Amino acid sequence: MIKKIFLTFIFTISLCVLAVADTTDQKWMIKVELTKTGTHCIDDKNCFNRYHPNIPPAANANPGDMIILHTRDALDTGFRLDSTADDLATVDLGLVHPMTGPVYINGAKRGDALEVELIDIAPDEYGYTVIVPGFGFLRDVFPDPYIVNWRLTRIGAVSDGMPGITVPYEAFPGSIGVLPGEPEIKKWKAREAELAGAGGVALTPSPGGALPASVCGENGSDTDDCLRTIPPRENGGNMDVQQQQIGTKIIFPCFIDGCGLFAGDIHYAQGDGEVSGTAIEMGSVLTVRVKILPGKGKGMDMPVTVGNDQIIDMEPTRYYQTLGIPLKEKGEIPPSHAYLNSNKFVHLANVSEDLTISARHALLQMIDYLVAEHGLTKEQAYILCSVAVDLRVGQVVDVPNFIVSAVLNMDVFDKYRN
Amino acid sequence: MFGRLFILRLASILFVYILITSHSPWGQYHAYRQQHLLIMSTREDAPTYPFSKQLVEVINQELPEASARPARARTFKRVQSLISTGQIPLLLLSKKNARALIQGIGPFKKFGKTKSFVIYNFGDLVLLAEPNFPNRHAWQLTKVFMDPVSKSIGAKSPLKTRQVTDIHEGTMMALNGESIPELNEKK
Repeated sequence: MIKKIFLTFIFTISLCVLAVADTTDQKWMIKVELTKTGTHCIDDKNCFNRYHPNIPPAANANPGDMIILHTRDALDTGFRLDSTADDLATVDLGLVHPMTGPVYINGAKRGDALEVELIDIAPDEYGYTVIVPGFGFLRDVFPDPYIVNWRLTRIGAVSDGMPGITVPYEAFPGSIGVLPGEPEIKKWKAREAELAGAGGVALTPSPGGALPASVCGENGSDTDDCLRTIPPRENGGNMDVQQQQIGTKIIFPCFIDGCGLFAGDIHYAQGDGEVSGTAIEMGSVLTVRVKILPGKGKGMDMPVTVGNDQIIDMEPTRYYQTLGIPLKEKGEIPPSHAYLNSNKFVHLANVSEDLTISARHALLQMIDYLVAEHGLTKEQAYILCSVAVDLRVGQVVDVPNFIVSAVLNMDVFDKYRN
Repeated sequence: MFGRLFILRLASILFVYILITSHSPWGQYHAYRQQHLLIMSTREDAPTYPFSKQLVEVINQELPEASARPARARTFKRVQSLISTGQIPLLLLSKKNARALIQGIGPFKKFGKTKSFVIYNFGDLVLLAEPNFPNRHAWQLTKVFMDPVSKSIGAKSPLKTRQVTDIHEGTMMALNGESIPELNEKK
């Protein structure tokens, strides 16, 4: 009996030693992790949805630390796999976009630049793409709400709403950036107000749903100076540039001490253009690490991205391309040009050197192709264009007809299928 | 039933609204919410969503200009936020939850009391309107629910049942046989 107990003891100890000998126990990373609490941004002390330098840091990190940000979906929705267009009408637009952070980077000063290396993005199991009424590149053509619910793995995104299609995993942060300083707030507010005055699209500060409420809410300390997150600006933010893939480095100018790094609105995949207004939107766990570039922020106009072969890895192996030139119907005013209120423009069928009209032309042809040749509905085609079609500038010299092409990644029909 | 004058007024309100909000891409989204009579339900009150679809069908049959649509919120929290800010004008809840919303108890405890008015009853469900819902529109909806066609969905006059809160003024006008109020009357 004693012998039996002794042997069992030795066996157990051996197992423990084996476990310790595994690689799992070897650690070198210093991690700073901002997790999610509660269902929505409002329940979460690590979440905010406006920009202002007075938003207090949620954490401090040193250069080289692994900064792990648990992020929420762009609309802070609570959509589910069985969500329908009826759910879309109850989205609260004041909550766009929930950002995780800000993280105070120790040692960073205003005037420095911050190099942010994208280390990893772990996707949620669910994502969605929607057509929001009044939003998106073809908002005049698609006035009604529509939703596609995606099941996500790192192999591909599939959906009952998009039969036969698998969208490859090419995740990136839709929004990532640093907080603006007081001078930037003043400058950006002024120029956006000027644009609004001219009838252009501009989003003035709005306290409804603004977080943190103590700074940006109706009775907050800086209600009138908290900027909306929708336009990308010199601080980055909602750039929606899909080439900012895992492995690339994004360099931001710092406008406040500590920079105030944040991220959110992670996209599982997106075409260049994000034409319906949304990509495959999801929550995620994003890991980044940073390096301070002393004094380098002073000469920067905008953030820059530095990458290697990530841009090649994203290229389709098979594609279909439509070409657009600045043609439109006589009398037609696409929503992008309405604010110009131009009689000259309205009566032209061929406008001059206009990439927006060229892009529209290319995109409408692509939608027609997807409907005619692949049996998609118009809404499905528009959604597919938003997540897997790249709008690309062909040339900006052959006046008056600058070319924008729409490149469909045909891999979606025959690759990664599951 | 809405009449040409009503359509003209609605169109002019929409036009002004779009002008006012056209600086924001969301402006058109708000306009969408105004173009359609949205009937809000919630996943947390299970019978409300399927019934909202029936309700929409009846309304659109009788008042096609209303262009009614269902709008399902995920949580009571979102329901309270959208109705209290007037972003969505109509809400369908079971009577127990309607009472909780109005009194700020139960699932609505942390949001406080939320003002709203009864438009009509449908068995255990009650259709509520946010405080600024126009008398004229409440009158028109009430007329639809008073019509025999609405018996099939269990419509029951709020005068014949115990209410969770006050009846909407426009509804009372319809129930009392008064003529349709102007859009610019109070509410």
